[in-house]
Amino acid sequence: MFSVQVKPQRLVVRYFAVSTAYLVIAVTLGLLMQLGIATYSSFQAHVHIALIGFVSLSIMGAMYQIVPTLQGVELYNPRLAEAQFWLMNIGVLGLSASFLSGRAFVAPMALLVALASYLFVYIIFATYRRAKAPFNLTMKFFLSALVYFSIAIAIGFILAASSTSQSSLFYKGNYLVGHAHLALLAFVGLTIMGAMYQMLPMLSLRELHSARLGEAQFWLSNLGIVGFSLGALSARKSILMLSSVVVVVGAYVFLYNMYKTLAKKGGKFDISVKFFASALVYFAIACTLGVAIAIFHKNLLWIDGLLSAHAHLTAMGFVTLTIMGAMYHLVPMLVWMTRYAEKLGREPVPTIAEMFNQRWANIQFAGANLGVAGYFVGLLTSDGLGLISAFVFLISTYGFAYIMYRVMSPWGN
Amino acid sequence: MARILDLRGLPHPTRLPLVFNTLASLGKDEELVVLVEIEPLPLYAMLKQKGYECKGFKQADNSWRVEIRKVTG
Repeated sequence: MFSVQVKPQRLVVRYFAVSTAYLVIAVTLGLLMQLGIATYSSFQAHVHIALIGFVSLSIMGAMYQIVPTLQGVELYNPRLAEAQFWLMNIGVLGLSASFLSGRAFVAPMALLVALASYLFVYIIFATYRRAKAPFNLTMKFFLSALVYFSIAIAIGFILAASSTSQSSLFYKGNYLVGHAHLALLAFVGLTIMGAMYQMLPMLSLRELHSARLGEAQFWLSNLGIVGFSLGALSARKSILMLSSVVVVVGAYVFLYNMYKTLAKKGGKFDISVKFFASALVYFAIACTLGVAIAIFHKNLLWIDGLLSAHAHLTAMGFVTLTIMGAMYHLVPMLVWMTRYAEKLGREPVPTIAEMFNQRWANIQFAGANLGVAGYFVGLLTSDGLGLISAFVFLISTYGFAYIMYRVMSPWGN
Repeated sequence: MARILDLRGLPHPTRLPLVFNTLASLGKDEELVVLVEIEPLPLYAMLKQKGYECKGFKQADNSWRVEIRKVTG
């Protein structure tokens, strides 16, 4: 019988390859919108290519790598994971095309994305169940993030299935706020926190400041997220405000733990840790702004672009920079293992550090930060700074994609 | 007989090739002891995949000592 051997490490690299392509498309579309060539439908395509195409696919690839590693087991059914990869990509491309072409196939494509996402959740839980390892802090964050992800997908599908026109989406504003925050705050936020508890100490070569504080923060953040979601879905403003404070306190505890870890004596920060550290600064500002919006929204919403500034600082500054940092570590390491480890002793092979140009990576890091900070200030001050910064971020994103594809390419190094 | 590879203080990207390079040069009955700051969970997974068995031990100074040997038979 014909059978296909699927190597999980190659699948993870493929996930990162396509997620990088989605990042390039989303940022390009964002700049076109900034130039005024955009419509409402391209806004929805921009958001979903960025958050499902880039962010979710990056997280899926990262979890397919990190969960088996942490649990000391093989990935559950790599062939099913391979099928999930294709389903997810067809769904993301179809959903984005639907948004750009008058929402023709939004509901069936949203269903495809939902099915592929549930398949991913199933594979991760099945992998987790194989292990005899103790319940690790990172795994707690990941598993709870996946529960929220499952709920966010269900709400997203209901929104897609029940909306035939643009205006009806606005009447479902509570569900939209609930969907957006469950997806971004709960799924993406908790996943990144879980990954940082593992990757930041490992890559900065410093012991985590306090695992017990991490445990406390896990419960605090979950309490806040459950309250926030219930408050958003039921339109109870008092619950929304109170729980947004709890969410932000949880975020500050996380930031404190990370800061104390990085402040310990140790070696120089590598490129991944630099990305993580700057992402954490943006996270601190975005959280503070978020809670201010939740509490004082009636007085603050007149500031043009405040909501957009909050959303972009979170998505570009915190999420994208964290993923870029993680990819600078994971992609070269996985490519090195699959391509060069076997050749050791038989022919000369590059070291992981030699797989990409460190100076270009540092320039890309500087460009990404200039783009994020400038765009944030530009949105609040509404001058040409926003456009220039969006362009700087675009160039930096293209640079990142070039560096990653050179590492992945068999001819790149 | 054990060969010791102290990776403490070295940049992260240089470590994996060093470990696999050293493993490739080991004699038949030799084992490798790696010293690191943080428990290297990803390294365990990669070593297992490449046919090695390893055990990590936390030291009094919070660093880690990892003993690695080729699985035979």
